[in-house]
Amino acid sequence: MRLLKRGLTYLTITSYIGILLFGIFSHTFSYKTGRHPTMYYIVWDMFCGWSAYSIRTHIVGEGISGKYYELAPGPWGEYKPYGNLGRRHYDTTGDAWLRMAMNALDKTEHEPMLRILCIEEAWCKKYNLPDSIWDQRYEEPKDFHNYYRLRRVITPEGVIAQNYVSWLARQRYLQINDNPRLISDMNRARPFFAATIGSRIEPEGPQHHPDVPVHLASPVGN
Amino acid sequence: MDVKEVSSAQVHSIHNPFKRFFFAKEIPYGLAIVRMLIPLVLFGTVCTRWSFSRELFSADGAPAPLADIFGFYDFLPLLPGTAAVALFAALGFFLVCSSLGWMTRFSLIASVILYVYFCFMDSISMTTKYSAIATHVLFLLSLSNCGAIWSVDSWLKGRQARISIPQYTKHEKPRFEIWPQRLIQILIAVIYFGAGITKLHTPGYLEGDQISYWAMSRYNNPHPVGDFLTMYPIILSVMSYIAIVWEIAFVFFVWQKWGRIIGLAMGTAFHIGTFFSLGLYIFPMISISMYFCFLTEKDVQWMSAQYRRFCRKGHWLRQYSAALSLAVERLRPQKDVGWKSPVSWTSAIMAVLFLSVYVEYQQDLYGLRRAEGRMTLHEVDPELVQKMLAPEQVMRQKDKFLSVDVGTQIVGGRLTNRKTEFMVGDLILVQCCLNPPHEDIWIDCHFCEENGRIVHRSGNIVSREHLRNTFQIYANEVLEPGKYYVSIKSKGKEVLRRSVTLLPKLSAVAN
Repeated sequence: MRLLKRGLTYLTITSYIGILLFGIFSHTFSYKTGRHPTMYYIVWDMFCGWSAYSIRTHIVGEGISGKYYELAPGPWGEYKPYGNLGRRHYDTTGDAWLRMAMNALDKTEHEPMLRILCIEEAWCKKYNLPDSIWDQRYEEPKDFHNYYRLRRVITPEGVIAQNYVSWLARQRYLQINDNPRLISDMNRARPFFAATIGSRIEPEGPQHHPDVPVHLASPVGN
Repeated sequence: MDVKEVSSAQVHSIHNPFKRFFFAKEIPYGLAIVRMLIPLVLFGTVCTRWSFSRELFSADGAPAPLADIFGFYDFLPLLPGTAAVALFAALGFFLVCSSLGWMTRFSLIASVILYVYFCFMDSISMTTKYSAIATHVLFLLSLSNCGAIWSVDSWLKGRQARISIPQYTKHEKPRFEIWPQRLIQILIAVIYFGAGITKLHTPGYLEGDQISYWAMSRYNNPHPVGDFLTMYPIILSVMSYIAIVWEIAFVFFVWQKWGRIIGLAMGTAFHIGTFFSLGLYIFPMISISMYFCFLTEKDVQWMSAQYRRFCRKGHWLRQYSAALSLAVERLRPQKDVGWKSPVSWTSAIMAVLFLSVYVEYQQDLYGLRRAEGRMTLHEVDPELVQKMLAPEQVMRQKDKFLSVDVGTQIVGGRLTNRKTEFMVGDLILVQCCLNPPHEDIWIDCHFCEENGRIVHRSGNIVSREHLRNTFQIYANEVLEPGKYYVSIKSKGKEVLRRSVTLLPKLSAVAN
């Protein structure tokens, strides 16, 4: 019995350290970090990087009367997990937008909806600085300006009708495309008919490649 | 086993570093403190989420399962609303019991299972790296004998032991193999090493840009120190270097005598720093609580000796200490009450389950049982909707620029002495910082008189991968002392401006 207990202890120690080391290896060489949800528990990517723009999310429903209604937060309020921001703002991948919208529609009295719109709002983070700091650093007054971008259109039945890239991804795309030579090369390489024999409109198989790292939108360092 | 065998075994064990490292026996003081603190911190996070648990974790709300992000749909079953509410309350109860050390092992195992489940159910507001770390710690605590001391279990057990053993026998605290404690230490070292690797992967980390943007963000709690530090990016850069070196080196020196003290002191300072500069509250609490696993039996003995010495000097303290231990002893349950503990524990968990369901029902989160009927949706301001649905706006040039600073000294690519007054003859450095992403951009830097007349003009291309450009302006003797300004222009428009004053050059006084 004592030997068995000691054997189990050895097994626990070696397995546990082995798993931790695999996490380090996986993270260092970006190998299968997105293979399984449990990888989140052994990959220590506490500093995924922060952009220069603040992003917020609006989920609104368009009623048949032409009025727009706030679907997130619901009329009962919103949980603020890490500070003064509501939960929806931490979901930048938008995985829960559909559920949030449908939950609000399900639990409230409302007119029939035509469509649900998920909209992203962005602004430059320098405008977040408190006035006392701003005045020391800038001579200009704050000229706050926000940008909006439609991210997703959902039918009232909960089917995603349209999906667009994020505002930041769009900006990167626009800035890379600000290059006539590159555009000309791209256009030359593009066939007139957008089809290849035997191809499908949507490729089959998993959408998420296991070697592509998964970065959760939540402030993982909190 | 005779004496010869014993001594040979001891020698053998001393010469085996692996065995000595993992299987030395100690009183689990450190683990007991970790057991008290970590569940308590997690209990706080459970309390703040409980009233929204139906919405966050159940099929009757809007959960965001972690597994969905990885493409594993329906990985874990979604519970009905009431079941999720009750189990979330049970998690809170188990965490409190773990902290108190009441039915310790069972409470810890139950805590791990429920905590992992709820983290998996809401990747937005429950799954964070601190919850992943806490899960590891709870798991390792559940394997240990952390409830053997400073716990309700040991308190109840102590009474029985005192009664059963003779009075003259000195009652000693139990000792256990320290491998669970070592595994928590290794976990901490691996986490820091992994975090260091992440920082190595992160572009703009060492320059302090990433921390600066984090400090400007409003995703976490208020952090006035962080806002202030954005004015001194060189400090952020230096701190970033220190942090990465410490994180990677931690694993190599934390098991040395002085290395442990230095490593943990730096760690504590680092985490407290993130509290003030980044607005992180829970992560520092979890991390600093974990550090107690580095506490050894010798440390506690040394601290007790210091305390006793202090008590001897302070008579009043000794009196209070004696009175306190007497009060605790009086509170200790009487003989043959050991069986009552599981019964009370079961009754308590039943009460928690029942009360949580009842209170949540009364609370009626969605207002479905209100006399006036269901809640109605809030209408959005039509003007705001019009703005939101307007055609795509091109980013303003001024939003591509972060700041412009003027000074005379650059360290690590950063302007370190921001100035507004210069002497005629100085070389003025104008550093222009850009926000990522930006295209390859041409920037004009004009040095103008107060009335707008340009006295010096320069320009440069800043390619998309660069976030800074420094212009040099030589304030030569032909310039009149007075007020000037630096104007940064892009696409023909001024985006930033900085005023400077030129002072006359002081000539040597003839003696």
